[in-house]
Amino acid sequence: MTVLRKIARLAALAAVAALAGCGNETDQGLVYKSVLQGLSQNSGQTMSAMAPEQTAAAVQASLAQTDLPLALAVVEKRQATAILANIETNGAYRTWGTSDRRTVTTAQGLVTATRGLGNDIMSSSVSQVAALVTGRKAGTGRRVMRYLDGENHTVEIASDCRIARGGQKRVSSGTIQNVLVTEMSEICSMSGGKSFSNSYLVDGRGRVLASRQWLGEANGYIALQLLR
Amino acid sequence: MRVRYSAAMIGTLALVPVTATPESLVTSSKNMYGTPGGLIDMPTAEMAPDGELATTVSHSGNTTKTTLTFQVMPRLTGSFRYSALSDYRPDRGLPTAYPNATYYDRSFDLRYQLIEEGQYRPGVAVGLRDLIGTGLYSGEYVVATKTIGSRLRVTGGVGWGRLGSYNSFTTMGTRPSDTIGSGGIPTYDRWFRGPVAAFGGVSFQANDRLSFKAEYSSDAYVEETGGGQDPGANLLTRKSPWNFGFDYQVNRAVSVGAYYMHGSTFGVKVSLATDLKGAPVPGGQETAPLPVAVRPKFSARDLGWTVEPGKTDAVQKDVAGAMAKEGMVLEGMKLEGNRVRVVLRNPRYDIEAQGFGRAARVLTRNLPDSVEEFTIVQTYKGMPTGAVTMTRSDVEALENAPAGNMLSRVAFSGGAGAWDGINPVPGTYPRLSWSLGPFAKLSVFDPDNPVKADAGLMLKGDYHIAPGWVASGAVSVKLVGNLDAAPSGRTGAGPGTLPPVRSDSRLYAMGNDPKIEYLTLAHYGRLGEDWYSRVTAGYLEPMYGGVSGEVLWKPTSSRLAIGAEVNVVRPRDYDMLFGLRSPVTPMGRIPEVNGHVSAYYDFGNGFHGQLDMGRYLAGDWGATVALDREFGNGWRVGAYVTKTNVSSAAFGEGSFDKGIRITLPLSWSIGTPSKKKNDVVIQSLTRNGGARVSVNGRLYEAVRSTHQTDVAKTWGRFWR
Repeated sequence: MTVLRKIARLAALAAVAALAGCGNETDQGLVYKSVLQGLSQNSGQTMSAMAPEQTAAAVQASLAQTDLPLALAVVEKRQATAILANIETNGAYRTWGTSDRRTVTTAQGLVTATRGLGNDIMSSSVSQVAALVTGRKAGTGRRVMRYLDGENHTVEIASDCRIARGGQKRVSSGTIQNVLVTEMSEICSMSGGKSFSNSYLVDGRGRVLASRQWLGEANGYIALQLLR
Repeated sequence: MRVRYSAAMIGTLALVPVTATPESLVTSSKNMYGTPGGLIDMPTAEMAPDGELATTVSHSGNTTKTTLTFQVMPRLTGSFRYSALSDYRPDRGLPTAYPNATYYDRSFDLRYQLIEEGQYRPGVAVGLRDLIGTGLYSGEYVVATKTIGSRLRVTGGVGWGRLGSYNSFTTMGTRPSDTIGSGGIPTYDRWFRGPVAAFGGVSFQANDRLSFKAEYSSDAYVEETGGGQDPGANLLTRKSPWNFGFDYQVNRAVSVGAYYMHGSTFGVKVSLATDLKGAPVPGGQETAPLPVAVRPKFSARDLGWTVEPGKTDAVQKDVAGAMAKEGMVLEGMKLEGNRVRVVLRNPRYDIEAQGFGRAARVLTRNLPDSVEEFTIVQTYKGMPTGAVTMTRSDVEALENAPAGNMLSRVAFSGGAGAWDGINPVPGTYPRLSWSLGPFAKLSVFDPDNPVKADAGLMLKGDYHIAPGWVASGAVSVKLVGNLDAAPSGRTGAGPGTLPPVRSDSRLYAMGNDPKIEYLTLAHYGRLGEDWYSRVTAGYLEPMYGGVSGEVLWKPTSSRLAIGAEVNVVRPRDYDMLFGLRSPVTPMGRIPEVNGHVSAYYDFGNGFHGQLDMGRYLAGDWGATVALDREFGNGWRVGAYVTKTNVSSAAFGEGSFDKGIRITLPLSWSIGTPSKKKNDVVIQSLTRNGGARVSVNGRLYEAVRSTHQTDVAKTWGRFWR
């Protein structure tokens, strides 16, 4: 084989690799797409960073678009902002979704599950602490948050939490105007000595209007603010 | 060895950080031999974290060693090493002299930590280096390591073989130097025999990243300095038994090391470690599932829809559409007043529990309220493989509960009657699927050549005629490659005396004309609730055509499965077109009939075993034993051996077939579900004994992933 022919073959091969396969099988292109995206993106980064004025505009647009309850979410570690709509309710649990199919589930305003963020909370048992927070009472309670590990086995993080009552103030957010809220804090210590602290603004009817809650080691804190 | 990669996969190994676990004498360091240990050429009693797979490349004294090490269990390490020695020529000056500039050697090590480290007691390990075959690096040791404070580890031990070759203090019997059989057999006659010498060293962890080490080596490096098989060898000058150096942990995966060795030369090393128990994104980063839609109270009594004309068809259309959005295909549906049976194809979710869970949620959103019982059946080529039955009320009630609650409420079954009373959903059968893409066939770590490969273009198609019936074909065109290269002229024990059923594989790799990789008609079916069958006819694989039949018994909850396969084959023409060639060869006739009885067993602790007994391609009778460690994320690392009733001489170089195999799941690398995976096999030389026909779609792997035994392991994904 001459050198030229060899080069031509290599070029053909490169062209084939660039085509990266085609066909009609489901998920055919997924592999190549995912790998290419993986090169250019951070894992799990789907919500986007927004400037305050962009956020305000997006909130107004969303309020106009739908009648569903809405919330604003910021995943602090990723500087990611998203508007969530309450897309489904199952008993005490409300599932909030973004337009790109990431969801957060809350019970009485406390985050119990996430989906699509990576390192998701699969489920939580928070009834003890939720009763104290929404009742605006100080006290102690236990919470359990469940995750999947690298082998898809369920792992639990159990923590003992101290709920304390702070001051009161008036807040406005979206269509919620000038509501008197109580500041509640929840300080949780996990086995192994690590801890996290959540905070909530709770109105007179026990609704959590805004909060900052810990999602886990990997995702850090999420700030949630009810808009409607 | 043979490797099949999708081109995009290369280079995704070792992306994940390694997490330390509190086990006895754990280290992230690898030595020059690529095995876990804090010293340089000498072993220690340290172990890597359980489940770690590491690749180490080291260079010193004109020798490059590439080592793949797996921490099989917390106290057991297995290592495969491929060494390249420049200008090392056994029998130099004789007519039998090694002909090539670089000598390639393959070696295999095992280490076991006999005694865990205590507060005052050191940890003790026993190890065998290069325990199979020619034994260039053969040496055994018993070694103790003790941690003093939090930074210092002190090691002392005694060695035999290479590790007893310098300054020995006693001799235990005589150590033979002949290779057993035709190589490739454990050199048990040498172990712990011959001169015994002491070695030792210290490692000091200066900070999280940097560690220093010093050792006293009991290796005289006889082979490298002209005292061994190559009288002219001059790979290094040994002036001192003392070696010094440091390791630097660049990040959790990568570490590098540099050493001053033998009082005369430098050594360097780089190591890449992957924690197979971890994942880059635990739980995956794919989009959220649809939430469960809860029915209003008392609505379940309304059966009015059952008399609505066209309602069932409309529901089926909705379900099919919603399943498609989740990446699954509705192939069949039987909707009755209070229950539904859906037959699904799941091309996306490698963790089947997730497929079942997403399907269940789709059903809550699309079925009339009166439908209370869901049976979800998964299929392979239209053959039902396994089913899960649950109540809709449980799906509604347990969406936010721990996943184990749901697992205790569902019923698994084989789903044999899945197609009873239903027709395939329009568009699913008949159906053509096809793909065109690059392919690469690799052959690595051969004694002749570290890497051989062919790359080109492959067109594949499957025509699904009806559930269970599929016609498949693939045509490849090689663009570049050297798999057809002639052997290097190295004198080994040769290909043996069996009919050439595999050793002539390079003749099939010649030329750049289109080749038919396979062209078959297959039928997959069920012979009962626990029984599966397959018949495949046509050009089964590149080298053989014929008929292959298989039955499998595998109850959904059984850890044990039993299978049987019979093949009637003829060798194909070397051009890989439609012709068959004569089975008569100068070495005898290639028999037409071969087959096996197989037992598969899931030990339940992450280990999986397989035993195949029967007649192999060349007509030899024997058995294959395989043991794999399987991780919940799809990674598998295992080894197998095949011994048949042929002598070492008849088998040829390697004496019998054996290998290491690794499965890398694509979903693990990309963090989103995918059924694509890469199987890598590092095999002893391709010889003719213990060879089997390579048929697509063998039943056990097609079936097991949807069975209770497998699904329950990763059930947490049901709600993901």
